[in-house]
Amino acid sequence: MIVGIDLGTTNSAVGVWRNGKAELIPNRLGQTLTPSAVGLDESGALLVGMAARERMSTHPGRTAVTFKRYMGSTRATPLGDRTYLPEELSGLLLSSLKADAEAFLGEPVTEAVITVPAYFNDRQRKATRRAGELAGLKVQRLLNEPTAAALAYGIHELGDESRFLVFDLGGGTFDVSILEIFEGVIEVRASAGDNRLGGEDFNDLLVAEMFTRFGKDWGEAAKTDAGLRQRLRASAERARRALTDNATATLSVIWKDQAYEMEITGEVFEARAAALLARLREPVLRSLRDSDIRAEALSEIVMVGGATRMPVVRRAVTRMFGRFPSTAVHPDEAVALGAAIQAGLKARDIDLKEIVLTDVCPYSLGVESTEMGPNGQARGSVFSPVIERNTVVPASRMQSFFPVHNGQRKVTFNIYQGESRNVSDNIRLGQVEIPVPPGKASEVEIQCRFTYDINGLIEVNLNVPASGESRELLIVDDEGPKGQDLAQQRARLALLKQHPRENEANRAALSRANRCYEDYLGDKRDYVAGLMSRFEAVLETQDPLAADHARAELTSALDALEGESYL
Amino acid sequence: MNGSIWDRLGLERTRETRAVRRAYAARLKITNPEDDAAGFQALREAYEAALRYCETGFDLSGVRFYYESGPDDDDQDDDGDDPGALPDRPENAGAEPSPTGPLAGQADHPGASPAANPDARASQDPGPVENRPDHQAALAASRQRLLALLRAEPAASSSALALALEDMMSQPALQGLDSRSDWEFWLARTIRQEAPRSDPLIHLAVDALKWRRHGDGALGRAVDAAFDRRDALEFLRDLRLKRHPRHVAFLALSGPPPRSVLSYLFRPSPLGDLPGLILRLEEDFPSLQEDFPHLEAWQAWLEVPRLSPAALWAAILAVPVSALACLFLAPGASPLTDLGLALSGGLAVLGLAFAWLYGIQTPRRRWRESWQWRAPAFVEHGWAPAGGALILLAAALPVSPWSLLLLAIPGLGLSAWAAIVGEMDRREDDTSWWVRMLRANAYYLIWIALLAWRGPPAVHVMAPALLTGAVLSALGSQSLLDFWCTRLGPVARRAGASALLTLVGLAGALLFLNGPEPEGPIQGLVIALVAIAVLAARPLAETLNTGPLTARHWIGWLGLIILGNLLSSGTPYDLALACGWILVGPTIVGAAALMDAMAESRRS
Repeated sequence: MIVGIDLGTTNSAVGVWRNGKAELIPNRLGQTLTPSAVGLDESGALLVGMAARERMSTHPGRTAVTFKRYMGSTRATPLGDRTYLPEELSGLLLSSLKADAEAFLGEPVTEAVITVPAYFNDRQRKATRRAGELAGLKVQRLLNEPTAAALAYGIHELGDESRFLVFDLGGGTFDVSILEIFEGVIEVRASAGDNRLGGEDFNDLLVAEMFTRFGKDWGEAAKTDAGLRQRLRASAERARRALTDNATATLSVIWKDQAYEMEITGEVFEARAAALLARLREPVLRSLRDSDIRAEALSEIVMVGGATRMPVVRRAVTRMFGRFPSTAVHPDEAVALGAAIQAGLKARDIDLKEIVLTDVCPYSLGVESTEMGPNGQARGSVFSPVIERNTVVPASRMQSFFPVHNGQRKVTFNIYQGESRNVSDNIRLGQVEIPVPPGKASEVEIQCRFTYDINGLIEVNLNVPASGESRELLIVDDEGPKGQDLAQQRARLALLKQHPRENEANRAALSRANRCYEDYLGDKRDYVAGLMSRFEAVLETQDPLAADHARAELTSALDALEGESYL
Repeated sequence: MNGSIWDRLGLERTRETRAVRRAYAARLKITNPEDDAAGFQALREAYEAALRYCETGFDLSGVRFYYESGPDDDDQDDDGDDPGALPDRPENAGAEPSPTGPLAGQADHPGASPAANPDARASQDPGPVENRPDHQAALAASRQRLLALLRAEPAASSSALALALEDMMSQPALQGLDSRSDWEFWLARTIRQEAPRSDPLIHLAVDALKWRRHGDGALGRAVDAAFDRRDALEFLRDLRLKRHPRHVAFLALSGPPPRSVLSYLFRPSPLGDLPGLILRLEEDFPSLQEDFPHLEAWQAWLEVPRLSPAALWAAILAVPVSALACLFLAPGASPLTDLGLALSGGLAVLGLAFAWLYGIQTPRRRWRESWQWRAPAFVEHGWAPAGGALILLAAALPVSPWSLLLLAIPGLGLSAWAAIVGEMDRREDDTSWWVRMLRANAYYLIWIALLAWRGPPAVHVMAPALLTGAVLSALGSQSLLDFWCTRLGPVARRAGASALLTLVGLAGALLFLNGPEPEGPIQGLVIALVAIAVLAARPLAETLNTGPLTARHWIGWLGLIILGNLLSSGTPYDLALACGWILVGPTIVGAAALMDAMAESRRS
């Protein structure tokens, strides 16, 4: 069985295509969205999802969130006494989603379509693929998130011809894609984005506000306290959501048993967010230019991603395009539904026979070369693109190069991905050398062919027609473990104990109560303590029905206290 | 896979976009990119070409398409588009900076109307800004103000321009993406069209709009043109500084060329490297050619072969000076002899001048224009081995005045040959060619001078050949280097260099073993070999690089050893002096190597 997974920065979801439509699969807590959080409890057992998310502020050293931001790097996050790579954390999250899907569908799930931001580079994509493999899933396709959202949006509009823009502002990444639909073909025209812009950055603005206001009162120790930072972030998230519906919101946090509160208005927030909002324009402008479409020629602006609910973002988008964006898709669910549709397409489901999807590569691919000026002066370390960005994939392009000096015996090709003219600002993917016959530089031609296949696999072929030599390079996963190393890594992760599924809901509720205990002071704190001890007493009776009932009571009591549930 | 685009789409040739799309979509269902990557690529190529045909009408149906790009793309920047062309957006008429044209029409822009949206929160939002006619009018008015300032007489100050630009950038109409893109393009093109008045705007625009070089599409090209203008202005500013290497040439270029022979003779300022500066302007900064109104006059002036003012003065003064010299230095001879000598002196100088103008400069031009690419290798580079042969020949000749003549005439001939076909290193400053010649051959000339002063008498006979060698090496250094590096294979180069060094070493050894015999033929041979090695040191250095001490240093050291030996032979302390030179030599050479390394590191 093949499923579609939206692996988001803040929340993840899994969906499947069956009975002629895409549907989301509920997790062990009965919700369609699973927070992207992984943690260890005191006994060293694994917690994934809401249960881990609730422990973010109480046990920051044993919980990991927003690790998608570090995918592709080797940043080691400590959980307990061992460290984990971001792809290992994603792998643990994916295993949990896989288990939820198997429980819901009643059959084993072995293949998946996983979404990645369109602007993820080669390293980040390979890390996502490795995460899938660690979870025991064969990754059939890495689908770009805006394209997935476009699938979810466009699958109803297949008859008409339209051009629309997908504006995907998630927790940690921002992607823009311009798509065209005609005659059952969904075609991506251009993609652009910013991998360091998301809802979390807006949260950081509010955290900075709190520090500006109360930093002196808190002292130096507050700057490095991880628990405080997480609590501030959680408070900022709540306030940001509150500003969606109200004109003002309250930021509150407990530090050293004292409560600190601050009011923030929509106008102040908008003023602070001006720089972030300005950053939203650049990828939009670039994708419009690359696809040579004017903003007024777009029929819809589709907003995807939780952060697009913010009125400041909506206003900025309205100003940019001169019209109001569409609310046709659910911002949190669209990507997962699109992934489910792609999974259906891969499985050749009969209902999807009339749709073909084509995508583009978001980055230019090329080699490092030397540019000869008019006086014979040479400028080295110049990036020469061979496949320009926004070329429809699969793509294969060839370019001829020549050696720099006369009488050169071999030429080294350094492969880069990126847009900058200097190779030092781009990402190096690999290197390949080819021997060349001696001769005058302008007469020795080396043909360099790049092939970018539909899964983002890059192959470089070099050929010297004069001597018949050829070399090829497949940009493979040099950074990840291969073969038996992968098996060892998987085994290491499998050593983590897991709780039975049935207990997850209870653990999540307890973690939430624990967090509330820490978030409040005085009477409210005692109240929460009372709720917790009552619930734990029921749990000890080991009666599942009574436990469910008590959990529902606890949850509604906490809801009444907090004003909303966290998600 | 190969076939016309219409075959691949399964369509008759048409200019209807809809039909092309329908055909593409139908074919796409069959050749799915997931299964058949190559087939999909071919189909996609055909689709894009067909769309281009729909847009432009270029008939490409007869051309067979292969799914490879052509082999004519090389690593040079090959932008075949005309940088002055408008982009092909048909709706881009609004970018023209005309006061009554389509700009005014933007007020009737048919966009989405804000009132249609039933969203309850619309009352809180300020509403879509792009289509408000008053904002568009304000933007248009601010554009007009900037244009008026750029075209005003007298020229507006840069602060006024800056204010106008800032006012434009704060217009609310620029919040809309389309307005913003159009305006940026208009600004880039205005900057280019209104140069040089618009020069102060460039820095402001680059900083405020964060422009970067090498952008895409029409805007990228317009922005690149603005950057080119900025670089050109910086070059111009640097040229005005006294310490710039081409400052003298710049001063000359700023004024008109001398109109008559008299003004040429009495010209106060030298010309510097004027041809070099003009070449640089043509190649790198074509936009600066408008800033030099006398450029064409100078180019015409430089076409005609001329003598330098010093040579003209020498030709004019030759007759009276030689007459005076004869009168005062050789009294007693008949006045007719004096006159004859004076005239012959003057005629000799005039003859040399003519020989230079019409014997060398004119054939040189003809050579550059028509013969250079046709001539066989020995015509282009043959003077180098001929010079070497001349030096070796000089070693074998006996000491007599006839030997001098025998060497002087071929020496002059070879120099003329090298002057016509050879190429000197191109320079980046205003120093004259003979200064550079002296500098490049300083070591060699000092070496010869020392030998002539104290060395064996063979040197006096070899002098014309040795001096010819210096002239050849200076006149043709670049072409010799090119020949060495490109025409000879690496094996031949290594063999030649090693052989030459071995010969020099052998000669030095022979010298030691031979003992202090001042009149022997060995000494002449040794001098000849070392001279050839020193003159050929530069191409040798390119081939044999042995760490921090390059081939030049080794040759220099050998030259010093042999110099020492030759100078001290015949004196009582010859052996001691010889050993002294062996020790002193490395010190001098080591110091030279150190200075070279320091200069290298300072440069990099």
